[in-house]
Amino acid sequence: MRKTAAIALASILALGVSACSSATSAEESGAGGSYTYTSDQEGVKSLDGVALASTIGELKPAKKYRVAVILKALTNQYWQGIQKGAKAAADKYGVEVTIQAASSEKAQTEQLTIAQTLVGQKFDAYVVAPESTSNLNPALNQMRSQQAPVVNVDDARVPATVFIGPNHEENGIQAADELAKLFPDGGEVAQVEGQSGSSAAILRIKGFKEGVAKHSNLKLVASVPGNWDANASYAAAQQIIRQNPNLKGIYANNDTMAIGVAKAVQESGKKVAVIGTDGVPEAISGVRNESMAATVSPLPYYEGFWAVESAIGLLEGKEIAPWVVAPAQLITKENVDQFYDTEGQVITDLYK
Amino acid sequence: MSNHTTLERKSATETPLSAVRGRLDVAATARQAGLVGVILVLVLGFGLARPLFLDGGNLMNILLQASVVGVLALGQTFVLITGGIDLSIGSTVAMCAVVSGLLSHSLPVPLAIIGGIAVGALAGLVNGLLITMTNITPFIVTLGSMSIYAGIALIIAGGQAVYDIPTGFQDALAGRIAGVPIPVLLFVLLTIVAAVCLKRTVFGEHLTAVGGNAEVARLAGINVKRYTAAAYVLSGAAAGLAGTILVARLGAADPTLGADLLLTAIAATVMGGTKLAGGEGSMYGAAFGAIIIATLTAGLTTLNVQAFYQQVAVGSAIIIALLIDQVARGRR
Amino acid sequence: MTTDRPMLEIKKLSKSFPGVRALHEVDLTAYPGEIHALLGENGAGKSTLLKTLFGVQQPDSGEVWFEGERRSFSQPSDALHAGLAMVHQELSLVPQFTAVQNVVLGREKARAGFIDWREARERAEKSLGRLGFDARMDIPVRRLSVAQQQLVEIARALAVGARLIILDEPTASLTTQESEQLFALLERLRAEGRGIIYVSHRLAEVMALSDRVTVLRDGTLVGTRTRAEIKNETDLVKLMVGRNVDAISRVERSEGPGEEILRIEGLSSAEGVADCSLSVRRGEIVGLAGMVGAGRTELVRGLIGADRVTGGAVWIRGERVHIGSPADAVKAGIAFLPEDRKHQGLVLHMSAASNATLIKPPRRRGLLDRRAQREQTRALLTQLNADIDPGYPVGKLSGGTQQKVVLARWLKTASDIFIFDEPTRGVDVGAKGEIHALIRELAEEGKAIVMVSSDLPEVIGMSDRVVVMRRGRIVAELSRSQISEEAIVHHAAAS
Repeated sequence: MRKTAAIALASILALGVSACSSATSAEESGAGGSYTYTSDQEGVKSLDGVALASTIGELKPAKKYRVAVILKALTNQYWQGIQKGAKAAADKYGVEVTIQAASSEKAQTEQLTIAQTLVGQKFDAYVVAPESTSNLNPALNQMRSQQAPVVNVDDARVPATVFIGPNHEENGIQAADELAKLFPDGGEVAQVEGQSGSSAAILRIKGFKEGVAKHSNLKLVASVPGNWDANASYAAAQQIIRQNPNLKGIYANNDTMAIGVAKAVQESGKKVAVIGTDGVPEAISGVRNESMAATVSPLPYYEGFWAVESAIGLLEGKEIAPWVVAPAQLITKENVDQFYDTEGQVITDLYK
Repeated sequence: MSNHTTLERKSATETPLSAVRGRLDVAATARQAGLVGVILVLVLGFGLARPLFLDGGNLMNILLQASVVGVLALGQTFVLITGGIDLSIGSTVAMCAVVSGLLSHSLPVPLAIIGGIAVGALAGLVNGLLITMTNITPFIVTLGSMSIYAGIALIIAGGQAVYDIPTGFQDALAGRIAGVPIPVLLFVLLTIVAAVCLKRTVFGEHLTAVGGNAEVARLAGINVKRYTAAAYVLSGAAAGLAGTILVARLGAADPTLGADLLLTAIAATVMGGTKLAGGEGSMYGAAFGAIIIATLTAGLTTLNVQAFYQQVAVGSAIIIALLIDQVARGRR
Repeated sequence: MTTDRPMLEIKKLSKSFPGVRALHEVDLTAYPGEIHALLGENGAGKSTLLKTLFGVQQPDSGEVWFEGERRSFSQPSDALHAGLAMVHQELSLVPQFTAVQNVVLGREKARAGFIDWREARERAEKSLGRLGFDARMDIPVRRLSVAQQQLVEIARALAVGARLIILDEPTASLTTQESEQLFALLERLRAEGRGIIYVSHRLAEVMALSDRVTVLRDGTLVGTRTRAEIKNETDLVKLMVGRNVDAISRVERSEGPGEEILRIEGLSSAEGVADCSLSVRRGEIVGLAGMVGAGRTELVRGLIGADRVTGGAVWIRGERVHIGSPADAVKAGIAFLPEDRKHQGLVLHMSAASNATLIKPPRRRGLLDRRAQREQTRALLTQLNADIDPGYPVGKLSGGTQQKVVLARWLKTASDIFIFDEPTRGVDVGAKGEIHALIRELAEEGKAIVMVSSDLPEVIGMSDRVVVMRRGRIVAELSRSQISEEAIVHHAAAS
């Protein structure tokens, strides 16, 4: 009996494999059109986000464009920042924006369902922040066949017309430079790494190592995993501090981890400079109360703003470089008030 | 037996032959009709709010989105019928996706696909053997294997997505035949096959008996352990197929795939009338459940309802579906 | 010993279940300072009486008066609060709690929101100490002996202030010494003026302990006697079984039994069956009698490989067979119709057709043939005189029809040996007769039949031979001419 079922299953499979080998993929691109989708290729031209507005020039949309924004999950302040910026840009230019996100940063298929449903509504342009480098592929193919411009926002890079995001490698370098500035006489430094496999982590780790190597008097004595987790990073930092009594500074690949590291430093009673990345409100207050030396913030509000602004620009026929670099700002006690209000929220009129 | 004078008395309390209400097959048909009704109401409701929703392409898209969850729900139904649960299907999807993706680099496409499904079946066999050979409950065993399979997926993929999936692979499982996406065709075919397997084969009959009352099945000479293990093998194989379909659709095999599929698949299964206590289940119900969830997600997205509210809606739908089912049962 | 004012009065209590009259206008009066024994065969209505008294089930009619007040309890905890406590056969303690925790359970006193364990311990020590509890109070009760657990349960009843304590088969799993300690305790409680109702099968205990005895039979009251009115155990046996035996008429066989079909030698099992030997011949019905817990069900479960067997051998038609699982038993041609149909005989929410054809569902071209399944079932059930729709879920059928569905399942197999465990339990009177006729007919057809039954008239009316079990062993074998109710009860209850 079981055999019958197995044979049936196998034959269906065989049918699926053989009968349609010549059929074209249902979700394959239609190609062509006036937009390119090459933003994920290496060595593409880049443009500083701050210069975006002046590059595009004046924007007076001819019609009320409809733009769909598909984000990872709104459970993280980072994505909420992007959402805010996207809305602000839509308001400014009088376009209709539909913002949808998956329920968690792990919900890959859910995000695909949402994206394909939106694609079915044929928007003029799409802004996507995919959960992974591959989970939105069929939707992206459909967007391409609709010949709509696609703007890719942080952090998984997919083939789009324009990518807006920080230079993660540069973030790591900036952190190393800051440590060199803080300790002109040099000294021992360490790194707490993000989730292995994450592209942001890979690039930041690489950048920090390069940056440290640039300054001959800095010495990287430890680089350990913290898995984007505050507790794991707290434990890792305790270990590092104990083993390296002369430690001067620690760079954590994101702020969540940096907060854990800062706690370990505080408990050790030693003076160790902690630098994070992201600029979440907790880290901003950490910088203000000096438990953290600095954080490298890509200012997500502007990523969201520029993403929608770029989409409109593309629809209006403007030429935009395939990579709009979100300038990662090194936020220190000195400049924090320049970028963040007292609530720890990004000031929204920095680049006017 | 010969006729005997002592048996003149008839049991007066029995239901007469004409009583159609309460018959099991009639009850099952009524429940499925109810689910189809829910789908129709949802489609028409969303269509009234947004006429674009009724577009053929959009409706096909909903079926496409339902197909992966649906295939998983079919497998899960076999397991739930035995009174167990398979929490490892999400991780199995990821593991099989990665395996078939890697195999596709060196093997012909059909072998890569069969390899992915075989790994799923093997993962299910491991679950099934652990459950039947030890006294550990299915919940615990598959909770453990969920983590193990997720880890294995990351290990063999080296933590990164596998790319360069041959177009032959993508065409085979994500192409179209006569305009219908292959995942949808597979979903429909497998639903029929699974329903036939459950209701029209000795295997399904015995599996239902095992889940309904393992002791009765054992006393009737049925090998309870073998049937239980077989259910997990089927669930694992379904997860393997779901994984390979996703690889074909996405053109890549991501080792972190599938985390959101487990609960959706279980939700679809129970919405379709399968009992967590075992012994009762419906393949058509599971398929309709998957379609209801996909319709809700697509419809609410169309209405621009945020994901947080969508979760509330899907959760409410599950509870309402079961309430309706209970009320219907109570009446009988 | 008794005072004039009754403590508990049960008046004309009746309770019916579909097709079964479990209690019919039963009266019972208990006085303070009295040990009152409640006697009756299995199924006489003792447990229904207690369940209705404690509010587990609601009576159809009748009254309960306790300490001069009309009461109607909707759940056991209500009865407990009123002063009635029950010590169950399966103890109802929380096994992982200590004696102290169990005694104060539900009545813990808190200080500043936290349980005051010192106070709890003092309270528990006081009530346990009085009962002569000498084990540790700070370990989980599951690690205590049954006798000690029983004391904890009695202590809990006393701590709540119970004035009437009902004990259901309290000595079932106690050693002789432990039983005697319990009797001493019961006598002390009697001296304190508490009322005790004592349910037991052990006639010697009843004779030694009780002040009065109430006997139930078939759900009706046979009568209440004082100890002085009872001369010996035989009097009690007569009260328990003294019905007109002609309810089931003995049928003379057309021919005597044939050759030996089944032989069991020295069977022992992990479930307490010890060294049992039995032989059944073609066309013979062997009745397996004994009290509940005597090991009859365990013996047949061991035979069919449902329980783990630790020793012994089985021959079928002179051939040694190894039966390691029920599947082996099916292959060897043994049909087993279990006592608990709902839990062991039928998959309740599957159809009658599915249940009847479970062992070998009919198929056609590899697929299950639903139509043949229905038709075969319908034919079998019509043969068994049950005219029902085979598509109907079997859980909704009456007990008698359910039994016929189970029987239909085995008629389809080529079984030569039929084992019936309590074939007519929960079956109404009419269906009972039909099932008896069916069993006889199977015997006529040359099947070898083993029938476990606690229903003495059934055993006597049906059996060609009766084997009596007690405490996991076969203690007597009665030939046709030796079978009598008195003989069976004597062997089954001998202490």
